[in-house]
Amino acid sequence: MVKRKTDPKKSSKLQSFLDIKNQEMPEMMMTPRIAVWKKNKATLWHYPAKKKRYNIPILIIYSIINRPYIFDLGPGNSLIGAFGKEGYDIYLLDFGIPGYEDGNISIDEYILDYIQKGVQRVLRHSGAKEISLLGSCIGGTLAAIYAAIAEEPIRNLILTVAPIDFEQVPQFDQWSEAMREGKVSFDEILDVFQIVPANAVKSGLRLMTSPVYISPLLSLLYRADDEEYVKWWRRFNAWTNDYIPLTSGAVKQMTHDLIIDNKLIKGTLKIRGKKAKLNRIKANLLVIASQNDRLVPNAMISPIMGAVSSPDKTLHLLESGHAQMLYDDTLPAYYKEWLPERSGSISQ
Amino acid sequence: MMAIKRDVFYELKKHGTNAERKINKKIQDSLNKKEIIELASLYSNQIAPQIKRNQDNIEMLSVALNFPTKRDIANIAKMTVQLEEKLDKLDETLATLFQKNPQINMANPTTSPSERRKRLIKILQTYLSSGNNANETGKFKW
Repeated sequence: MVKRKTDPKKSSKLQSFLDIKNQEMPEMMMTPRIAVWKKNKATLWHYPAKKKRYNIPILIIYSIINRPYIFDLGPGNSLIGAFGKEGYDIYLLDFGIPGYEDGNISIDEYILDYIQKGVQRVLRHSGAKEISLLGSCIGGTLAAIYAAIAEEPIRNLILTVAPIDFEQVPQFDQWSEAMREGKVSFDEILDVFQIVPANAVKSGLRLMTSPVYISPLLSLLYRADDEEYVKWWRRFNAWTNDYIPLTSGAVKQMTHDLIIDNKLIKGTLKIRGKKAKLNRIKANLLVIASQNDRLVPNAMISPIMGAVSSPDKTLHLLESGHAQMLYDDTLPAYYKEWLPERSGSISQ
Repeated sequence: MMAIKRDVFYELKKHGTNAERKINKKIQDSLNKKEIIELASLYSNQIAPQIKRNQDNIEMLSVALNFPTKRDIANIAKMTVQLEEKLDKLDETLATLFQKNPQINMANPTTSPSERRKRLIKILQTYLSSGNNANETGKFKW
């Protein structure tokens, strides 16, 4: 019998890959936090700074599609942890997991009953006179809509991969065209179900981005011997599979107001009768887009730059995809360079 | 230029990712047709009334057989949220009162508890009798 020679490096990588499933899941969401306010399924979390260096707290508003722990995946992979280390007081509005009973929660409710109330709570809890809003993905769209009607003092508005202009959707343009022509409606079934189950949300999003999804596993195999990468991958993978149901009210309003009529960028959107015009936004604006984002390409994000009245506005284009990696709790340079001088340094 | 370490796993990743991209594009292109979404819409609009009828029948049955339905539970949940909103308003009112009248704030060590209680009662009485917070029936409106 002929004995085949094997490369020890290759076999060790493959062995590490095969062994991953037997290892314990790395710990997640480890940054200390306190619940400041709760409403229905939503929780406003406070992550106190290790040593507070800035007066203006940051409120993170995340998507209504995924869980917000992407901001605090685990030690070394936590944007919240990185902000805390730099001396920022962080608040996070977690909308929770909606159920059948929440079917009538629309964008209006998310904006006025959750985000606006959350901002008021943050101002009261922190004692700050102004606030920084950081909205990501659909949470960024919601943050921009809120900023357009806000009566509260918003100093900084940071939007990361937040779709604003829905004129050109990246995939399935024929589907959106059929919707705009009025040939397609799912309102009736949405009214019956009240929510879109999490699995259906996941399937829909996968169809939009990557129906066949093997590349993450190949990346893991390639770097199976890198312990830190494996930890990050497992945490991130847990998050990418953790979708939450969408309320029928939100889906209907997003479909009609944003996708079909594209009201936000056109300036015709109304939130409970109040006009949400982007030109009302005067806060310092930092917009982050990603070149390789297949879900929310730059064309859906950058039109906000011309729509707001902010004299101080910056568009930062990353080379990554929809979600960015964070390996060592170091605040990304685009925050480090932009935020401190706009956050009311305590030492000043 | 940084040398890229190439091994079989790197090649697998590279070619696998390229193949994935191509397959995904094919799947998406083949589904990106108006007829498909129109058919899905037509089908959903056909089954929606049937599901609604079944839900209504279950509601009717629940009256006779005395079991709670998902709608009953949803109604209770909505009432809980209403209660939360009332408590929130109460909390906001008290916060405003404390802010305007620091002498009644429990966290203020310069006043005694009995003094704070007296002042709080006086302020609440003034607040309630001002009529600003009473509805048509005269009841206090939070």
